[in-house]
Amino acid sequence: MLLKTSGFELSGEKELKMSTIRTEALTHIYSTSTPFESVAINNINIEIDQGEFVGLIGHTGSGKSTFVQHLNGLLAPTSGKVCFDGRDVNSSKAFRHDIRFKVGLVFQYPEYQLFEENVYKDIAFGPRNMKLSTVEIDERVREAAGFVGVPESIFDKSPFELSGGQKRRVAIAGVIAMRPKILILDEPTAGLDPEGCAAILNNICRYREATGATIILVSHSMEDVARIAERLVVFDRGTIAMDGTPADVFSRAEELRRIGLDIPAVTDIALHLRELGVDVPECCYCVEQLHDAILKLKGGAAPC
Amino acid sequence: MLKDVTLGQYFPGDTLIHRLDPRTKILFVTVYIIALFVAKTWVSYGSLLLILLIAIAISKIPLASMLRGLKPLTIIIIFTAVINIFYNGEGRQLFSFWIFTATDAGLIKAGYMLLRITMLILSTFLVTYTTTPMALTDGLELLLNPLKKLKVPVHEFSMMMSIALRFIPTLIEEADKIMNAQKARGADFETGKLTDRAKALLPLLIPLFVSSFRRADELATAMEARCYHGGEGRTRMKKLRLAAADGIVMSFSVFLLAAIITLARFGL
Repeated sequence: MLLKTSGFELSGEKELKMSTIRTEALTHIYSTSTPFESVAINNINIEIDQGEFVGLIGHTGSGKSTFVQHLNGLLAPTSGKVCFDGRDVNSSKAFRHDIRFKVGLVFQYPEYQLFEENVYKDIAFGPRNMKLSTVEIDERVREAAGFVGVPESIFDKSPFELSGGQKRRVAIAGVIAMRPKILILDEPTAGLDPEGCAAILNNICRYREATGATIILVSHSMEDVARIAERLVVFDRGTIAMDGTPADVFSRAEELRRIGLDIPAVTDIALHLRELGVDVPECCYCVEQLHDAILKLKGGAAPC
Repeated sequence: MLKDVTLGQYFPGDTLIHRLDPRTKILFVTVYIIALFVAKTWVSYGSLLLILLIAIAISKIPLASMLRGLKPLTIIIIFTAVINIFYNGEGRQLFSFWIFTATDAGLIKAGYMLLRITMLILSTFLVTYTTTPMALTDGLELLLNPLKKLKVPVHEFSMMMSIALRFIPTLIEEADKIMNAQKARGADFETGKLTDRAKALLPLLIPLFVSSFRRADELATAMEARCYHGGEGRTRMKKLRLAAADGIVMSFSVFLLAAIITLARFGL
């Protein structure tokens, strides 16, 4: 079980680990002291270790986007703090600038941020801001393009000529090129066809395997997240409602529904089967699991 | 940061001011502005300020929100006031340096100028805050209708204006998003020399332009899909009707202008 919320007593010990990100009583209120005041996130305590693959799920307006913008210092907390490797992200302006390269954030619809005259320059924008040498920049651009499947043959094209899916890849490459230790993606598959979705998610997994980076995937698609994340954090009205492995989280189907979230279709089927008296495990969240469970019930070993 | 811009924002409500016909509000604010320029002394300024404050109170829009809208204009307001201190030949000299000479009359005039611009802006804010952009452009179109006789494309202008007003908040939101995305890639909009900062704006402006064109294209398609073909023969779902309150406000505006002119005549 990965229940790591509110574990400050352990903080001394945890600081030895590299590249953990931790929030302490993180609260953000938009438009303070105006009639439009609204609490976006309230008292968030969470710790994410190097190399974890975290899925962040929640309804629209549950505060997940606000939360991730704190992790790289884009938003300053109203109260509480965010620590990267034990150091407060907002402790100095220089560190806040630095942290953006360590914690890469890919926004929703990142293709709208493309601006350079060609694909290569756009991917190089981040590394250039890091003031790296031309050789190093070149190496990073090619590496990042490789991770997301942007062929070098389109490096000279204008990013505005590309298809939607390709634009998305280029934009993601622009963040990966900074070699962030933590890569946060806000709805990276929104608006893509199923094939494009699968490809992007695949690329993300590949990046993680190759670099050991922490991945935080924000999504409202349970199916996507359930398949690839190792830990799920559920946001509800600005607070963390659940935090655990996909199996833990999806076994609390009723609660999830109350929050207004869907459970994966497979989990739904498994629950119905249980109601009908079929003894399948409660927490099936991908097709293969249910498939195996049913075959086991039938008495046969899984064929092929 | 950009979210502080409240230009053209509508504050929903159901007060007397909200319910007034947009034409009445536009006419009244026009008269009010003329009166502001006719006004000479504290008597007229005071009464105009009082009227504005009463109107704001009736509209139930928090004064703080009104004043926040002034923020982006502070520099212009202060600049105008300071210029007025020095460019006034009359009055007793207070101090001088280089080619600038400040006089007491100049100081007073600057104070009035400050008041005048602030009130001018606040009064127009009150109109845009209490009127939906749609109603506002409808009202304007009806007011300018006579110009159609002179072949002025009034409908097209008002349609352009309503589209522009409608997209201000959208574009602000979009600019904010793009800015954050570029900041996440290490772009720096806040420090550096002026030339560096101007260059740093490119990653913001280019995507903003691209998306404006995209939006314009989509909007044009959507309008055509709903058979929009200009103003000819176009009828309205909501016809604007003048009510008793409008009559009262309009009569009051005539009275106000007359009173301020009379006061000015007597040097008050």
